[in-house]
Amino acid sequence: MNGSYVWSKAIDNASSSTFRSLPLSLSNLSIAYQVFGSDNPAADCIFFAIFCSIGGEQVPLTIPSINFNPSAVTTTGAGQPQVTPYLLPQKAGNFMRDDRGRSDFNATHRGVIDYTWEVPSLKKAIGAPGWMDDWQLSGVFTAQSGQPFTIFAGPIAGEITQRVNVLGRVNVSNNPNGAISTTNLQLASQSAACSPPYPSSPTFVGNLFQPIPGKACPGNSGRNAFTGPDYVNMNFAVQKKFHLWAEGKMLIFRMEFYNLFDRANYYNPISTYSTDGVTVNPDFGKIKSAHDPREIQLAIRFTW
Amino acid sequence: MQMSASVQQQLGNKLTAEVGYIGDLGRKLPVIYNQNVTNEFNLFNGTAGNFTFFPIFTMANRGNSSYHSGFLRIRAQTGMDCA
Repeated sequence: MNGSYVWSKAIDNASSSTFRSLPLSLSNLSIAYQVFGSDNPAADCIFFAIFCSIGGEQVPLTIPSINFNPSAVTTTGAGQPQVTPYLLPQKAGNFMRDDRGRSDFNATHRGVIDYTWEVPSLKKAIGAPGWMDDWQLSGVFTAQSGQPFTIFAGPIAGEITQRVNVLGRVNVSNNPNGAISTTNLQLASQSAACSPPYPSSPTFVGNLFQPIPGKACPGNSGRNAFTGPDYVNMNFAVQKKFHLWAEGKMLIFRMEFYNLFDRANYYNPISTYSTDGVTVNPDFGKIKSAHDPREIQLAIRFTW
Repeated sequence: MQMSASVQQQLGNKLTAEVGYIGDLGRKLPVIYNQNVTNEFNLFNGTAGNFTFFPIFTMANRGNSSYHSGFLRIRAQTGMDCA
């Protein structure tokens, strides 16, 4: 019998090595994507600043007015629901720090026990007939903590990697109909920092798609800051050998059970809190996929 | 860079314990970011055309990763036939 426990911690910064292929419009890509999205260079300074810090580098900025066609800024919200890993860091100028978080595959705790037990001879123990011997039981038990995920709240103005605001502890359960508590979640667009200051301004159309110019609304939650459902599984096998008429010839009947107790081991819930940056996604928190249910496999093997 | 170390100790005739560490460090990994974010912001000045500046998605080697794990393994043996 072997038993092992592993504690691990895996960290990296975001984005994979493939380029995005989301259906974002040209206007979103050219204007809205960064102007009102995250990592706007003015995010860390005041609106009329002359110099602003971008990743520690002083960059001159001139912002005398806003003059663009508002219709070009609207977003269709056509992006696919995002799950990690996402392709772009949330803050282009600060992704080394801002997007550094647990790796997608990280599982902090993992324990495995595997065993094989040759059932003692019943013939020797209680005088049973010889054909009742040669039983073997074996199995693998695995318990593992959940894997991390990110809660997205975008896109606002095409910012697809916008993360949700967290106001307190967020509970994650194994409830497939609502695995993520929404009590302490807030759309980034609803935060005070992103509310439009001049709703009637002729140069700024006040709606939730257009937060304060120069204010980034990336949300305050971290990448992979949440942990999904845990994983517990038991595989079990029982087999019986029959010695046949000749020396060395043997017939083995074997029955294998995968996920013996038919436990629902869910994958991570849908973590897109909003698909358009304004309204809450009705599927948020629902779990629609799981590992395999119980499977039973029968086998007969003849060896000679 | 991968690192690993472990110590194994036999405890009696039928028990073996092993404690170890496994680590992995990755540096200069490929990541993608928007290199043109500064120029995009200049759209605010009103003099540049709306389509003058585009995001420039750039692959850079600024990614990094780290993995640290510790493990405890116990192996028990009973009877004549064991795993």
